[in-house]
Amino acid sequence: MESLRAEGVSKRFDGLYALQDVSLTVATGERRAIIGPNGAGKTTLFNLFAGETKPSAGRVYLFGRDVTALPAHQRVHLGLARTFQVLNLIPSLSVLDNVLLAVQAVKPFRNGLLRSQSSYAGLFEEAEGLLSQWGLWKRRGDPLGDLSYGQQRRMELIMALASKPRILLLDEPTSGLSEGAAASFLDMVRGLGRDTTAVIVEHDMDVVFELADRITVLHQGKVIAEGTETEIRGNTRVREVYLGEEE
Amino acid sequence: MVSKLSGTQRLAYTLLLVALGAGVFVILPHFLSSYYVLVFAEILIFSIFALSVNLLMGYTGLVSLGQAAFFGAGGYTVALLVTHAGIENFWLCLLAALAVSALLGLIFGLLALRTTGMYFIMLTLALAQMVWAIVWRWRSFTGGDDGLPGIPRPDLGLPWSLADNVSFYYLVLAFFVIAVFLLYRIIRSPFGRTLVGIRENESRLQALGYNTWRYKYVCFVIAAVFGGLAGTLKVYQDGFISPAYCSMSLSALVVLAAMIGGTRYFAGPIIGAAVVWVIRSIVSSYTEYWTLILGVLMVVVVMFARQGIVGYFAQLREKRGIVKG
Amino acid sequence: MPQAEQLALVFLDGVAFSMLLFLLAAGLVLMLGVMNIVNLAHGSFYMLGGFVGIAVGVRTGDFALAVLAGMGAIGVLAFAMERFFLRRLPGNTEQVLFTLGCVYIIWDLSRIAWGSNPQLLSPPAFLAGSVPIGDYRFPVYQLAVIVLGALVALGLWFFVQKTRFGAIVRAGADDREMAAGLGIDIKLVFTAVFTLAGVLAGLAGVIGAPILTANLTLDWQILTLALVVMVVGGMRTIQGALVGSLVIGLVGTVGTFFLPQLSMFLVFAIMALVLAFRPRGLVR
Repeated sequence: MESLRAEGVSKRFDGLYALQDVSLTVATGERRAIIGPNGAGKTTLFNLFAGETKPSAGRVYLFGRDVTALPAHQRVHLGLARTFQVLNLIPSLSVLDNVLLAVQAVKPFRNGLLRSQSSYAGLFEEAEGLLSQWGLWKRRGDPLGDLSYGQQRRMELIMALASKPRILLLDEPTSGLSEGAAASFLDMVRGLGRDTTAVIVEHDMDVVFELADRITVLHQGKVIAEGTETEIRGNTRVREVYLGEEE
Repeated sequence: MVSKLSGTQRLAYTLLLVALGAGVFVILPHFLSSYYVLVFAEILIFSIFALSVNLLMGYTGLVSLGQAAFFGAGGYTVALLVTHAGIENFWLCLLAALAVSALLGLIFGLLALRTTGMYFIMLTLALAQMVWAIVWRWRSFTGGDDGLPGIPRPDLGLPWSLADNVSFYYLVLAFFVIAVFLLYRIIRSPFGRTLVGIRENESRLQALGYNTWRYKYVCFVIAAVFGGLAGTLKVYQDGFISPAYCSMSLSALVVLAAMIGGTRYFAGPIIGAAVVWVIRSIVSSYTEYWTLILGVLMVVVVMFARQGIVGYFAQLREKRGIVKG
Repeated sequence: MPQAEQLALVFLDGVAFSMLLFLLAAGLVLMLGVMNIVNLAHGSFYMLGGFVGIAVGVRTGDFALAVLAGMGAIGVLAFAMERFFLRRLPGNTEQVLFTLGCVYIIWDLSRIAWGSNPQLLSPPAFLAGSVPIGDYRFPVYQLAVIVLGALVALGLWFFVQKTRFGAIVRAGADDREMAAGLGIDIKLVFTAVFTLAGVLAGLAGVIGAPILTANLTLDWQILTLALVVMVVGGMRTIQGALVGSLVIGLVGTVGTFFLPQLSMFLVFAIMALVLAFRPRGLVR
């Protein structure tokens, strides 16, 4: 069963190709990492999946459905959720308020005009449950901006999980985190069941090799390799282009 | 939102406010002269207008400098129906005024909400000026610069008349209470909370699954309708209408009112409306520099007191709360 | 049926008016592009510039001095506004609201200083008189305004596209952080841009005074027109400001000639059409 598919996707910016004829398929439940040096097109591809931009050519499919022209907010209702590489939360609102908005987003009563938000008991239960599960319940009344960087990175994931997504897109989720924090973050992701597919754009190769079932390697807008950890490690082209630079 | 007061404390606080409100708004006018009763009514009307603007500005983050278009649309609908079609029934006129304001909101919203930030400010201003220009030019229909006179006090189809000021005041008060009730509910609703989210971080809200444009659009139309309501009440109060109802100065004045009171607090626009109106009507009889005073006040608030009057006191209370432990 | 010469007169009238609008719109475009603000007091700048110019012109009889006075006064005002107030405000919205407060202040101070009666300024002697166009005559002064407007347009284009400072302004408009990273003092750029816009508005106010009588309703009226110009021309470029000014200026003037009842409405109708079908403005 496929969850995410890109078919011959290209993206041009003012005559320059950020992506050229990229195709890939992610199975449901899979943990896929997309790696590549800077400028390889990872972010562009990510944005195409998330719905932030449209491809210049090619198509994108979500659970078999053509979503190429579908705006980002509608993809959420098909089961997609994403995190942001640069923290993109609401620091002036409380932690709980942030999560309430995230949980509410997929509820039918989100357009409710006349009943107070706090009268929807289920909403609060769910939001507080989520915070509890990920260890931030005690801070729920604090302004989100008061949390540490590591906690806010955790919040990025929590916000994405609030919609109970079938597929999670993670954009460099461990960036700026210490080794310990990155490790506990990985545990969080690993703890998600196989009902949830995860596609992760990453720079940190340790995270990639820890987490990913399959790895897609991009270079200069094209897919140059795809496979398991062993296959990628063994691929000379990849080593030339990418891993060699890491050493 | 996590509250800092206990349940009983909040109940006591609310009851106190209601009692105070009842005392000031319901009982006091009986003892005031006609002039001050009308000033009270004007403050309430202007408060409704300011609350509507703040839904857009304080809660959604959309600064519109053209809300007078809706205020005027409501007022002119009533005036035109009374003058040209001889329709005396208050409810018909009100309904028509709200419908016209809503329609205008639907159209302007489609045009203006393609933009954000500075462009939105410019567009709303230009669109409202368009309404003003039409109203001002079309003498045969709207009376042009002279406006339309002779709007009698509303006929509610009730056995007693509302021609005297105190009765009319109570009508305005009733609508004020309804407007406050509705707007408060809207702000506390999931829709209202989403508006705040859009104000703070629209891109994140979209990534969460919200069609943010639609929320902004609905908010825009709601603001237009309440603006039209305020305009309707005003034309009945004044007994006439003129292009000043759609003017740029009114759009600016109502924004100023919201700011002075505090855009981040529900009661802010009400307080701000009172302050602005007092300056406008009472101070202006003592000095001819009230425009200057308003301008200086706006500059002072923007520079040094962005939280507004209500915000200032709210922050004082918070600080004391921390000290008390 | 109007004769060709009459049309030519009306057309030239329109172009002269367009130049006034252009001086304002160009400043607004610069401020929007570089500082990301709308100066709501821009109409006030025009009005005040006119009043100052008239006061100096009437007292000294020297038109050139009047122009300089108008430009200087508004230049100083704009500088002070930016340097001591706008700079201290945390966001664009606050800055715009500050300019809104300034509108009230400038208006009342003008009313106090010069009263509520409309004011007149005669064009300078060397630009008095008119040139014949067929059977009709067209004021030399307005031709001069057209020439001046064209020169300013050229000058601005040259400045923005060809000079080093213009490149800095463009860099600041495109990417503030990058510009700062390149060592450009963005604060200075802001002050310079705002002051320049103010000077242009003051200039327009004085040279416009013999064409449009200076009165206390001018601030909102001319600001509205300038904003409509921007909506129509596209809010981002000086070329757009020029195109928009010409369209609105001509529609307004020619429109008043043929359909005096509808002139204002025509201007807004153009705006509505542009909004509906070319929301980014006529010039990309």
